[in-house]
Amino acid sequence: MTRNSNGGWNIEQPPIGECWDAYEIEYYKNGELVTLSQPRRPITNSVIDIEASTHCPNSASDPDKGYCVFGTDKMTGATGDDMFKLEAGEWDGYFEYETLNTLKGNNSGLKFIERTSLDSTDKNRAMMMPSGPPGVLTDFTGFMDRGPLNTEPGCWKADIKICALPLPDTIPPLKGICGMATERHYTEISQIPEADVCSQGIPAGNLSFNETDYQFEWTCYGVGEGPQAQSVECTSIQSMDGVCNENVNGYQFETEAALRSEPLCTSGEESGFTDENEGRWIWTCAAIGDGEPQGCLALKPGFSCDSRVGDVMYIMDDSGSMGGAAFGDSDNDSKIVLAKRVMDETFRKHINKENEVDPDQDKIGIAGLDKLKNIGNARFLNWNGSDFDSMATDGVTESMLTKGIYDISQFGATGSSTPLYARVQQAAALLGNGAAGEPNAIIAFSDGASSGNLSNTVSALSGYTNLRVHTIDVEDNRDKLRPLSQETGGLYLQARDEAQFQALLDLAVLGCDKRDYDPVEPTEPTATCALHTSDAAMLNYFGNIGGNMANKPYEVHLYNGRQYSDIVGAGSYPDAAVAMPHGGTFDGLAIAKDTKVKIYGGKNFTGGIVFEAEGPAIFNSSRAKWNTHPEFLEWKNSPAVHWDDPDPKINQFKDGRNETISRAEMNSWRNSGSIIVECKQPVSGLCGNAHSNSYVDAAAANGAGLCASGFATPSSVSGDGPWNWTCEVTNGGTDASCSADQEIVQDVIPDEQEEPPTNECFFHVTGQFLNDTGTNSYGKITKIGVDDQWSTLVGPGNYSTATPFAEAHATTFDGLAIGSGTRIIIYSRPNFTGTIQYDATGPRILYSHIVQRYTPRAFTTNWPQFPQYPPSVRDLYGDNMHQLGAGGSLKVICD
Amino acid sequence: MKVFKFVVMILCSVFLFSKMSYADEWADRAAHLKKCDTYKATFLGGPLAQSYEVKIKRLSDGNCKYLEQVSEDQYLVCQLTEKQRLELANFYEGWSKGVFTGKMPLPENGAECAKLDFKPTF
Repeated sequence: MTRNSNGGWNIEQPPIGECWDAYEIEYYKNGELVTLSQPRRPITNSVIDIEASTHCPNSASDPDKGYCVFGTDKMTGATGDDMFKLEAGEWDGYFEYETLNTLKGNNSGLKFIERTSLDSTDKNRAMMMPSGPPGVLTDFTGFMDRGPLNTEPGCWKADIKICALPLPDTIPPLKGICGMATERHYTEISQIPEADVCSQGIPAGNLSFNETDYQFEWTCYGVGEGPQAQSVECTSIQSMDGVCNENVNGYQFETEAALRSEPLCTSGEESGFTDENEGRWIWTCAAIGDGEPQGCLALKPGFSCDSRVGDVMYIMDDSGSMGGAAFGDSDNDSKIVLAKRVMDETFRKHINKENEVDPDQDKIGIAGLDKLKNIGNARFLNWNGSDFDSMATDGVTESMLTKGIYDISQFGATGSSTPLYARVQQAAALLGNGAAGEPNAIIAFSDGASSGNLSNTVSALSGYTNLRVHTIDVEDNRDKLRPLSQETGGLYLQARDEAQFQALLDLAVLGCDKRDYDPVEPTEPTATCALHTSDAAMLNYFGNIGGNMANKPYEVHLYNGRQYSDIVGAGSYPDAAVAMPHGGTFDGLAIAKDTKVKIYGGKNFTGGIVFEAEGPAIFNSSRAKWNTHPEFLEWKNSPAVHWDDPDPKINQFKDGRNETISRAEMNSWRNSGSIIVECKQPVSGLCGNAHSNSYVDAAAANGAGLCASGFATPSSVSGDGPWNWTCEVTNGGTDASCSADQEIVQDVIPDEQEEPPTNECFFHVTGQFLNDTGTNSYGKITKIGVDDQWSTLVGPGNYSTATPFAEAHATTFDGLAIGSGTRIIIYSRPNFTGTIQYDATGPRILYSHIVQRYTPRAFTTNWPQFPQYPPSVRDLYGDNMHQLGAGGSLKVICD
Repeated sequence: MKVFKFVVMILCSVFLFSKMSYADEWADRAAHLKKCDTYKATFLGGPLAQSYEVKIKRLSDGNCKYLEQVSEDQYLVCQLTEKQRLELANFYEGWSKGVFTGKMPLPENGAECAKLDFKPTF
């Protein structure tokens, strides 16, 4: 017997004459794989156990006295004393004296007794035979040996057990102990070495991943038997790094929709997404377990950043508050510890870039803030007290990685241990201007809590043209930090978690790659995707409204030779004036129903989004004088009435936003802003959870959810399955076709069935008419896949007798159905012998002559619910169908 | 004399039954189906050639009711339109002439019968 890979055992038949109890067992002990084997034992007396058994008590005539007789009725113990009585005459029979339990020899408890007459007088006399004394029985044995009887030991029945004697106790009981894997983290099962699964015991072969708890789970069986051989359940936490989608990360996109045309993360779930990050979208690809999250960003249109960076100085604010309260999700690390960790990562990338990509002798320094007096600290990297050393010429470049990391890691959190301090303006003086295409940069980490004269610093920075100050806000103090960046064209960086900080710092230090995006060229407006703006109120008529004009959506008119409204389709409009009223005031705006509009406060998509709306929507300026105009009032108070129009382009505004907005605000968009108009992606129908699954009944399928997107048609399924439905959409998307099967329920599960039947793997025989619905015009008949009173349905297996055909043979055998992934072989004799009567692979239906005569449409009609059984796979069994399987056997095979 | 008559009756019955071949029975059934004549007969069917029933009866609406026993306790029952009745008659006529194998031409709107586990009222 050997262990197989599934944790079970393989039994190997031994040669004749040897026991079957050999085994080989592998188990772990102290982390080492141990193999223990028991060879096969030859069948000798040493492995044979013989135990005699009495012929009594079935034949016991006197259980109380402990004897029985058989073969004669001439012996009895009913004598009233310790004697047996032997009747007169010649006779013979068996006498078993259970009290005398010696099994062998003349005094065996089982005797064949033959009474022969010694003479004519004797034969007619009864005889008494001692049965005691009790417990000793010496009188009895003496009589049996010497008495006037012919006695012979009888043969006893015996129970013989071969190979039943216990094996040598060679396996000490060992409990299962989890292996090293339980203390480690893995991304997937294949990374878990088998040797690390159990340090003691036998791996059960059930290693699996628990998606709910993000952990791997398995069992280590104990070895041997008894309480000391107990099993143990083990777990290991899954770990997975979050990874940004590199087709997205760092690129510029015109719209969020364009950005999301691909998944934002290739590993880990997107979290912390925000578009309120100074010209950037930023998000985190979250890690699982001990994995590392990754911060990712994408650049909005008009975002300005440097592609190359010159000399850089990192400045750390080491004021007390930086060592205080923890930042966001940083596991109780202080802000300065967070800042150092982030800086460490970026610093290494920075050094690599300077060495490999940008070898132009840029200089890198690290300093603290505010205490220039400590400038001579030896741990200040390559600062020599008056100037930066050249990394290209002084030989320190190669050692920067190690040295830099060391110094950063030794950076004191607060107080006097801080090695170096420098004010921003002093660092600026040290660095000076870089080149126009490669400006120098100061990376200032701070929580903005330090007191100080901000205006002086800003003023000092105003003199530099090619020096950026990038402020890394580890709190949320943009008022104190952002002006420094604004003054120098640097980046103000603030994030929701450490990973996002990392991404932002990388952006500032390593430069943005300026990867171009494809701007969305303006397209023609459509009935459902359009932005219509006007210097008139947007109402359902063209004409006068209190001395001004009213404008009807989708109508563009000239007034005094001027086009006072404009209608545009999806696209990017860096200057809002292109897509908005050409002159005059801006008083009305219509957004069609499949349209999304974003208006930025500045040209070229800068200044942040100041207005955002999805259609259908109407916005009119809130002019007081219009509030007395009946048409305007109808629009404000009863938009559903106002927009009730046979033209769907107009009627679409009934159900949307209908609001007023200040005229000044609208005009500012036109004068200063930019616009992005997006057509909402058509939503396609999407099947719900019920799709592709099996259910006991229609209610269960409905309960599982028919559609995840779109409207289920029909709205619910009913009757018997399989069920088909459509998830329909109306916005131009694609409908989804969905289906679910009815769960197969067997009334009897045959012993030889290897797996339950499925909708593809089954063999179904019936003594009734068979079709796709289970009914005909007369009532109920057999439905494919439904195990009813006339039919038998089985899954894969080798059926050595004709049992699966029993119900069909009980009546007239009229039909069989073979699942689409199923092969059946019917043999004429049991145990797969005789001739092969039928060998076919599904999908297939076979009918009898009775079906041909009395319901021939079964051959010809289409079965929408069972498209896998077209008429071409339904055949007549040309012979007497009753012969199929009668007295034979069956194999049902599924790949 | 009585005993002689009884023996003769049995012999005649055996003779008559043995004379009625399957082909004759099917031809007889086809002929009655064609006219929807009221008909009641027994035929030898099933694996043990048991004696089974077949009945035909004209209904007031012009359709034809048909019953055929197919096993010890199972019966086929149909209400046949004229077209279906003639098709079924042609079917049996074909059988009576020796056309046994393969699917007969299958009408799109052929008969649809019930296979019952009891003997219905006829």
